[in-house]
This record gives sequence, C-alpha cells and structure tokens, in this order.
Amino acid sequence: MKDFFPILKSLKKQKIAPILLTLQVAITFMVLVNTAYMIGERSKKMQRPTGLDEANTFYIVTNFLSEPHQVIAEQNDILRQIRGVEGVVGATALPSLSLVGWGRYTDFYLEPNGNSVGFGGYLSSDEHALKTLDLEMIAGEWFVPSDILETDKEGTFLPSQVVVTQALAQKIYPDNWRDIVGTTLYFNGAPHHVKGVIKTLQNAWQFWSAVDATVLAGVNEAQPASPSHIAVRTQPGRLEEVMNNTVETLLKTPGRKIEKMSTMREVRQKAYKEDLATSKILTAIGVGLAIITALGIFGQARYNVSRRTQQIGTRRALGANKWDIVRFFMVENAVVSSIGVVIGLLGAIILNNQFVELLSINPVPLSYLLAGTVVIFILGQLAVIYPATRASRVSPAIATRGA
Amino acid sequence: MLIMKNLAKVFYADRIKTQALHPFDLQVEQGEFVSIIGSSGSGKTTFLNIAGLLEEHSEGVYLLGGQDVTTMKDKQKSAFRNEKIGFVFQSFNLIPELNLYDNVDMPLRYRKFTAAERDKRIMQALEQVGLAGRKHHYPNQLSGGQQQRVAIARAIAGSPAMILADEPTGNLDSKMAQGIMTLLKDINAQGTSIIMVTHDNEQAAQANRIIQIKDGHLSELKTLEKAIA
Ligand SMILES: Nc1ncnc2c1ncn2[C@@H]1O[C@H](COP(=O)(O)OP(=O)(O)OP(=O)(O)O)[C@@H](O)[C@H]1O
Ligand SMILES: [Mg+2]
Repeated sequence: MKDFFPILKSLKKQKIAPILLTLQVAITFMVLVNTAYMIGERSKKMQRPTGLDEANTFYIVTNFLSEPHQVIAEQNDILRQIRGVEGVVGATALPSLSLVGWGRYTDFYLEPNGNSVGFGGYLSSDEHALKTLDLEMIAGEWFVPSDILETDKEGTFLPSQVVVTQALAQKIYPDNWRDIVGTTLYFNGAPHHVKGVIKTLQNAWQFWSAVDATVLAGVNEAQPASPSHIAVRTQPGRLEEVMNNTVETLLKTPGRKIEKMSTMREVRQKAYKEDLATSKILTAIGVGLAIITALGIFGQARYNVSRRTQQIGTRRALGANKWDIVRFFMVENAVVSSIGVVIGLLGAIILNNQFVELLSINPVPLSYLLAGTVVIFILGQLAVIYPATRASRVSPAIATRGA
Repeated sequence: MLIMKNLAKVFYADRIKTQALHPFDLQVEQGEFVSIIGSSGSGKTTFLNIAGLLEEHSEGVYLLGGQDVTTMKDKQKSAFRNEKIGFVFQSFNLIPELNLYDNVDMPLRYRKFTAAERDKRIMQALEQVGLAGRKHHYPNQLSGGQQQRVAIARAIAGSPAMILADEPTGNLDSKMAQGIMTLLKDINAQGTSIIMVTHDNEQAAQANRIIQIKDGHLSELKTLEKAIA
C-alpha cells in the first residue's frame, strides 16, 4: 500500500469527480445489497416445501355423473379406477391442495366458546393421503380406515379425526407442540380430535402467513354441486405416462369429462409467478445499476489515464515499473470503493432501520453487507483493469517529449 | 560509467524512416559534466532518452554502469532509472495534486526506504535547493524557477550516479536560469555526473565537455568557438 497516502491526498485535491464516483459506489452498494436481500428472501420463500412429492404428483378434476346421493360412491369408484392405473403410488380426493389458491381456512379454539388460538388452512382426505401427499408423521398416529367420515356436504362442520402440521401445533402449543396430540380442537362449531402431527403440508395460499399451518381432517367429501378434485402421486419419473393413462382409463366411462389437470410443478410455477417476475425485475435493477457503476468507474479511470498521461510518463521515467502503474490505479479505485462502501453501509443501515420500523421487515443481515462489499470491490477492480493496463503502456519517453 | 559503441537510433512512423541518431561512440566518466547542444530536431532529446533508458536504441551497444542495457527487462530498467538516474525536464513535470514534500517523495516510494530514511532525504534535498520552508506548498504556488528547483530536489533525493537534464532552463528567464546552473554545478561538484541538453551556448560552456549533434551526427567540441562557427 505504498501509494495509499499520496493517492488519498491527490483524491482530496481533485474533489468533485472522486466525490461523485464515491457517491455512485455508495448508492450502488445500498441498492445492490437491498435488492439482493429481497431476491434472497423471495427465493427462500419460493423454495419452501409443500410437503408433497411435487415432481411426481398431479391433480385432476372430473365431473360427477350420478344422482346427488350417489356422488360419494361414484368418487370412490373413480379413485379405485385411478389406483388401478399402472405406476400410481396413491390417489386421494381433496377439496383443496397446496398452493392451488382455492380452499378453506378456519380459526382454531381449545374451548367451544374460548378465544381463538390460531388460524390456518383446512384440507380433508382419507387414509390414502399419507402415501399420496408423501406425508411424514412425527407424532401421534395416522388415520385408520374407520376414522374416515363420508359426506356429500361441506365436511368442515363434522366432528372429525384430524392431523395437524407441526407449524400449526407449534402455534397452539408453543412450549411443546407434541402436547397437541390427543387434544380436542374446536373449529367451525364442531369438536375435532387431534390424532397426530405431520411434518409439512402447505395449504392453498403461498402468500399467506399461515401457509404452513394446516389441519387435515379425515373426511372423504364429495359434493354434488362441485366436481371431484383428486390428487395422484406416481412412481418416480412416470408422471407423464400415468397422467395419460389415467385420462384414458377415466374416459372409458361415457359422459366422464376431465375438467382440469395440472402437475404440481405447474401449480408451483403459477403460485409464484409474481414473485418470480418481481425477482427478475429486482435482478435487472441490481445488475443494471452495477453495470452503470462499473461503466462509471471505467470511464473515470480512462479519463484519468488520458488526462494524466504526462504524469504517468513522469512516474515511469522516475522509476515506476508497469506493475507500479497498474497498482496505482487499482489502489486508487480501492480507496474510492472503500469510502463508497463505508458511506453505503451507513446509508443502508439508516435506511434499513427506517424500513424495519415502517414496513416491519427484517433488517438486512451482515452476510449480505459483507457480500455486497466484496462484489463492489471486485466490480471496481475489474472495471479499472483495462484503463490501468493502458496506463502501464504509456511510454516513459512521454516525460521528455510531452503527450 | 556510460559507454556507447556504434549506437544509432531509427524511428519508424507512418512508414517514414527517420535516422534520429547516426552510429557514434561515446564514453562518459563518473563525475563529468557534459552538455549537449544542437539545433531543434537534431536528436538531443533522443540521445538523452536513450542514455536515460526511456527509449531503446536501434543498433550498437550501450553499457551503463557496466551492464548491457539490451539485456534489461522493464522492471530492471525502471529500478535502474529510479536508483541511479535523476531526471530534470524542461517543463518540470511536477505532480500538481501533490505538495512539494510528496513530489520529492514520489520516486523514493518506489524504493525500499524506511519512512524515516525518506523523510531525511526529502528534507535534505529540499534544503539543498532552498525550498524546505515551503514543503507544504503545491507546485502551482511556485514560480517556474522554484518549480525547477523542486524537480532538481526530486532528482537528487535518491542519490543518483547521474543526472540527465533536457533543457532544464528552457522555460526560465536568464536570472533564474543561472540559479539552476549554479545548483547543477554544485551537485556535480559533489560527484554526480550530469548530462544536460541546452540551447544556450554560455551555459554549455560551463560544462567539462561539449557534444554537438547535427542532424543526428554526434561530435565532441574542443572549444565553444567551433560550435558557434
Ligand atoms: N517517436 C518518434 N517517432 C518518429 N520520429 C521521432 C520520434 N521522436 C523524435 N523523432 C524525430 O527524431 C528527430 C530528433 O528528435 P529530438 O526530439 O531528439 O530532437 P531535439 O534535438 O530534442 O529537438 P528540440 O531541440 O526541438 O527538442 C526529429 O526529426 C524528430 O522528428
Ligand atoms: Mg528536445
């Protein structure tokens, strides 16, 4: 760092240009760190597991053909047909599914007329859901066939056997979530017996704070007024084949219609479409600003090289070798970057504190600030390499002959 | 300390060949004061640049301090210039953003001196040129003569074996010029060789030796009368 102090002094003497560049670096740093953080948080959110074996799961919606009082039987028949398709691991009917955007939610109570102890999403299914939705029991027990109620009405109002996700259990029993097993949960005016706890099962809305708080009731529901929604899990890698064969099998019944069919991959893509778009915009902003700043540094360095040709030649004549000249510009850039980052850090912290209070978001973690510092440094050094090498090629003879 | 044999320089620019220096022999001993005279475009600066390792010669042999300069890489040449040669330019070439102290310090920073050693050398050099009291001033706060004194301080601070000066008084009036000449003669008296390009015959006459360049041909003059003739 033998050039450090002279460089600092000479920057101080030049004033305006270095100050502007420093501010640009500071602003870039702030924006970069904040957009990176926002993108990071989004991608974390987008990577939360639904609990399902998403790569090998799809859902299918079909119409009912029979009389209203026979729809349950018809749905069971459809399910039997699907389970008979080669490559199917499990199939189960549900009135709603992870991330689909439609479904039911409810408040939970520990006493019939007490205060709400939490809220979450409601799903219902039969004992086949364990395999079909790839659920992991972590406490208590899974449904036995005799637990399952059948109804052609909305099942939420029936007193039922339920399992809950760990996230919901933790909400209701923060100290020991296992305590929920065996208790009675009241919702929609009915008591429900909690049989067990499953690790993960997201409900219908990814943007909802309670997306991981799900109750799964042992109710096989089929309502005449609405079509049958069925989730199907296939053996690994056989998704497409099974989807085709399922459709073929179901359509053997005259009048059967496939109203909708969608893979869980598509469901996830649709659910996070906006987040993905926002992330792309944020990335574009971050990258764009970084490029502008890199160009700014590049331009400033190039201008400095041509403006200081005489000085560079003099330095060369008086003993600086080529590498000394390259290093001079690199160190100069590092000084500008450092000051910029320090200002940017202060700015980011102040801005962030405001945001944290105003919008109740989490402060940007230290790791992002550190990564931002590294990125700005590398960016600056890369931008300055070319002008610096050009400077190093200035002939020392410039000193006597003039530029 | 400086031996040139059959040395010549050719420039090629825009497919035009310029024989800036025709083959010549020259030897300069330690402690000599040599002045170079000649009309504009005759090759004086070219000679000085080659002598000072700022430019490469095209033909012949150049031994500097016993070393063949054609074998030296950029790094060695830079170090050699830094340690063994002091440069004084017609337009001073001080760095405007640095004060006098830092200007004199600049070449010293490329050497492995301690801060204390550098400080001692800077102050000694500034004292020798009579500007120690203005070390915090910037070049644009000085007269031309004073700026050239700072440049001389910068040239001698590293204790070079030789000082190369290209028209050091070219931008100064005669009174200031004589001050610079006196300073250079003092430095020479302390053992440092000096090669100085000048337009001024009176100044040239103050050297031990006078070399005239005419259209790239070097010749040594026994007396100044010949130069004027
Ligand atoms: N880089 C170059 N390319 C081509 N020709 C050059 C180059 N440098 C110098 N010359 C030519 O070499 C010759 C000698 O130039 P030089 O600068 O040595 O002259 P000089 O004696 O120092 O002149 P002055 O008194 O005007 O400074 C001139 O004809 C000049 O045009
Ligand atoms: Mg010249």
